[in-house]
Order: sequence, then structure tokens, then C-alpha cells
Amino acid sequence: MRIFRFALLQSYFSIINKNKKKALLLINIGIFFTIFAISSAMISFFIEKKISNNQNELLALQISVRESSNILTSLEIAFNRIDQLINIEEDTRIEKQFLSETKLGNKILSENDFYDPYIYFVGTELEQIERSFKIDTSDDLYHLQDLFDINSEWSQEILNMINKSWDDDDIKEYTDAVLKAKESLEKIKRIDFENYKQTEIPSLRDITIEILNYKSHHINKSNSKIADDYFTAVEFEFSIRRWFLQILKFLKAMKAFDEEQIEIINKSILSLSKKEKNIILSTFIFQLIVFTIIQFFEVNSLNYQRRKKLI
Amino acid sequence: MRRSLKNKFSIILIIIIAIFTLLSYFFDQLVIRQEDNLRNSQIKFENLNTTIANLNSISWQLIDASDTASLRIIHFKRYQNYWLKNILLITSYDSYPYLTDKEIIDTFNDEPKYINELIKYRFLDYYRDIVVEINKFEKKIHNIYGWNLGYFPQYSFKSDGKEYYDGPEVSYSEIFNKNIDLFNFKEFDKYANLTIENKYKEEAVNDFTIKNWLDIHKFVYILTNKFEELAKITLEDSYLIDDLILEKETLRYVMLEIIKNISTKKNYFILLSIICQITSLLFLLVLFRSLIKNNV
Repeated sequence: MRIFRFALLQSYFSIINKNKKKALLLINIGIFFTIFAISSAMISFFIEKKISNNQNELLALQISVRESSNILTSLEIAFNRIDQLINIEEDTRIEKQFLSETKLGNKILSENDFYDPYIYFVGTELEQIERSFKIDTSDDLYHLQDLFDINSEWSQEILNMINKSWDDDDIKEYTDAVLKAKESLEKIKRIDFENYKQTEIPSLRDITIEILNYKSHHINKSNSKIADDYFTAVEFEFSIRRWFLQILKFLKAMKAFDEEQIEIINKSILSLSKKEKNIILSTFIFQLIVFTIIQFFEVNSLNYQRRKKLI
Repeated sequence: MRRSLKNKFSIILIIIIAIFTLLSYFFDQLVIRQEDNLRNSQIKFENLNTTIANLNSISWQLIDASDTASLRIIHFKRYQNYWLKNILLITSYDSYPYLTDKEIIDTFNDEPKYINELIKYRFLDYYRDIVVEINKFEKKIHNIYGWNLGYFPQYSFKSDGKEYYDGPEVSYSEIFNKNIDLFNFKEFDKYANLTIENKYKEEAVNDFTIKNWLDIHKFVYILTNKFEELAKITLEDSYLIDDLILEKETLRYVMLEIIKNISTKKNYFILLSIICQITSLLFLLVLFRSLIKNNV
């Protein structure tokens, strides 16, 4: 069938001597449009590639925003928990310190009873924080000490970022929080938390001795190693809360920056896609024109054949 | 006509047109295949997103359970000796260590008998509170692990093809019997009943001696330590889940890279298909041109 059609075309072309120039012009225009359509297709490919890259970047950013939202939520929860713990602990300690000045109070609650559980708890919390902030990037492994070291690469990177957008007071607040956190971390690291585990059950004799020697186990006793360790633990909680507040502020700023980037990429995708749409439309029109030209010759060749038969 | 067909140039052009048309079909097929790959990869990617969200939720639940337990443990530990000391100082008993302090008793407004009972009831309430907290914690972690057994094979067993929960639990009688040498009185039920019915509490307040209270004191210590162990297990499990999250997040970036590559390939094949189509049209026009020019 195709060969038959081709033969018809050949036969038709052989008799269009009269309009040869016109036909050639028409075909040349068709060739021009075809080349134009190829170029349009190529341009649209590059635009599509750009859109695709933007889309991937957008997806990566969306994942990053989702991850930072998760981190922010967990940090916010941790911050609120520490805040609540500090407040409860402060209220409890003030009350117990006061009651320990009564005849009953100074005997029923010793410094071991009151301070040990809290010190041990902060020890396990420190372990938890250290584990959570062990950040393994592709280049390096950061520990809590690095985060609290103002000269570390990590802190310097944060400082470089905040220097551009935060005011001096905020930067000072951040720096002070990091310095204080480092100081508290160094202090708390010296505590041997195993001493405060309280797993051994005291005998009746131990308890009796503690009651009888209540003055040497008093909560408000001065020069007490246990009380010192307790206040080091409290200080650590305070400095961690302060550092958490700053890091939350930084992460929220980072998240806002990522969201801005998403907005920019979204706009760029929309504009590129509009351009691409127009180019594809023009490619289609050119293809249609070329197709019409081809059809024109094919139909004319068929008509010519029919007329020839009629004659 | 036969002569014309033999025209070499026309035949080459026709072959070229045929090749480009075939190539266009071929690239169309590749586009379809890539689209299929893309869809599968996107499904995998979305599944990963769901898994990560699920794992994050489990991790938060475990950390929250452990944190809540830790706060209760601080409280329980602080009061481990508190009520026993009160009993030794304020209530009347006729045995070692004879610490009853009249001076302290006089500081109370109420009758010594009432204060005596109040302190003992409070000690029993404190003991019951620990048991209640442990039971609540058990239920809480059962709900977390039980609904996510796929991530905690260590807490499951299979029977009749079904998977059942077999997670951390506290058997009070087992704990008691394990430490039986520490207790003055060896009947577990005597102490277990105190957490169940009030009538046993009343009997205990009236009949218990210092030796009984010391038993309760020891049992409280053992149970608090057990509670601490349970809280630690959930914290350790949350670390395992966190590691799994990191693993899945890395995999998510790998999937993203795969999707990116498939998408680029797909676009590449679409372009090639279009170019082949247009090129075949171009050669068709060149064929027409040559036919007209040569007057066939």
C-alpha cells in the first residue's frame, strides 16, 4: 500500500512542472519549520531538565524542612520538659530545704535521700543528650563538646550564619549560652554518677545511723560534696535550657530560610513550566504545518491519479 | 515507475525515514518503561516517608514513656526511706532501734494514734503507687511495642501462625521469690494483697511490726530499681529506632537520587522520540523535494 502511495506521489511530482517553484518553496518552508521544531524540542528538553532539577531540589528541601520540623518538635518537647523539670525541682528543693529546718524534717529526709536521685537522673539525661547530639555528617563526627565549643568548626559555621542576620545582642546571647553550656558540661563530667545510683538497700542499722547523725546528713549542710554535685547538676540543667533556647531560635531561622528557598524554587518552576508550555505549543504548530504540507502533496497526488483515470 | 523506484537516493531517504519512525516508536516504549520505573520508585519513596514518620512517632512515644517514668522514679527514690523513717520516729513500737521521738510527736496537732495510722497508711499508699505506676508503664509500652511488633521482633513470639506480644513485664511474685532471703516474712501474698484490697491495709496498719515494715521498705527498693530498668529498656529501644530512622533517611536520599535519574532519562527519551518523529518528517520533505527537483 505504502509503495502504491509512493508511486502515486512520484507520478504526481512528475507532472507538477508548472508549479514546481511554488512546490519547492512550500517544501522548503516545511523543512525550515521542521528544523525549527527540532530546535524547539531541544530547548523544551533543556527547560524540562532544569524544571526536573528544580523539582529534585524542591523535594530535597521539602525533606529537609520536614526533618527540621521533626527535630524542632523533639527539641521543643525536650526544652519544655527541662523547663518543667527545673521549675518543679526548684519548688521542691525550696520546700524541702525549709522543712528540713524542723525537728522532724531534718531527720526524715537526708541529703542522700533528696539529692542522689536527681543527680543520677541528670547523669542519665546527660547520656541521652550526648547521644542525641552526636552528629555524624559525611565529613565529620560531632560530639556534644564540639557543639558547646565556640571555636569548633560547627559553632563557627553557626556564628557565620547568624552574624549576617542577627543583631549584636542576640549574637552575644547565643555566644554566652554556648560558653556557659561548655563550662557546665566540663563541671558535670567530673561527677561519678554511679555513686548516686542507690541500688543497694540500706539496712535498718544504716537508716538508724542516718537518723541519729542527722546533722552530718542534713540537706542544708555546708561543705557537702553531694550538695555540690547536686547544684552542678542543677546548673547544667539551667545552662542546657539556655542553650536549647538559642539553638531552637537558630533552627527556626534555618527552617524559615529553607521555606523561603522552597517559595523561590516554586516560582521558578512555574515560570519555566509556562515557558515550556509555549515552546511545546509552537513545536506542535510547526509539526502540524509540516504535516499539512506533506498531506497536501499526498492528497493532490491521489486527486491527480483519479482525474487521469476519468480522462 | 520501476526505474524511479530504483532511484538510490530516494531509497536511502525512505530507509532513513523508516529508521527514524522505528526509533521514535522505540523511544516511546522506553518512555513508557521509565514512567513505570518512576511510578514504582515514587511508591517506594512514599513508603519510605511513611515508615520514617511512623518510626519517628514510635521513637517519641518511647522517649516520652521513659521520661515520664524517670520523673516518677525521682519521686519514688526520694521517698524510699521517708515513710520508714517516719514510722521509726513517730509511731510506737517495742523493739530495736527505739527511735520514737516524743518531742517530734508533740509537734503534731492531732492525736498520736491518728498520726500513727496516717503514717502507716501513707507508707502503704506509697508502696501501692509504685505498683500502679509500674502496671501503667507496662500497659503503655505494651501499646507501643504491641502495635509495632515488626520493629521489635525481640518482643514477639509466634503461635499458630500469629504474632503475639512478649515484651518487658514485671512478675511481682517472681521478683519477691528471687529476693526471698532479704525478707523477714516469706509469704508473698501477705504483701501483694496490700495493693489490692483496703481491708488488708487496715489489718497491716494494726498488726504489722517493724520487721514487716522493713520488708515493705525492701520490696519498694527492689520494685523502684525494676521500674528504672524498664524505663531504661524503652530508652535503649528508642536509640535503636533512632538508628533505624537514620538508616531509612539515608535510603530516602538514595531513592531521591534514583528518582532524579529515572526522571532525567524519561525526559531524555521523550525528547529523542520527538526528535526522531520530526526528523522522519524532515526526511520525508527532503524526499519530496528531491522528487520534484528531479521531475521523477
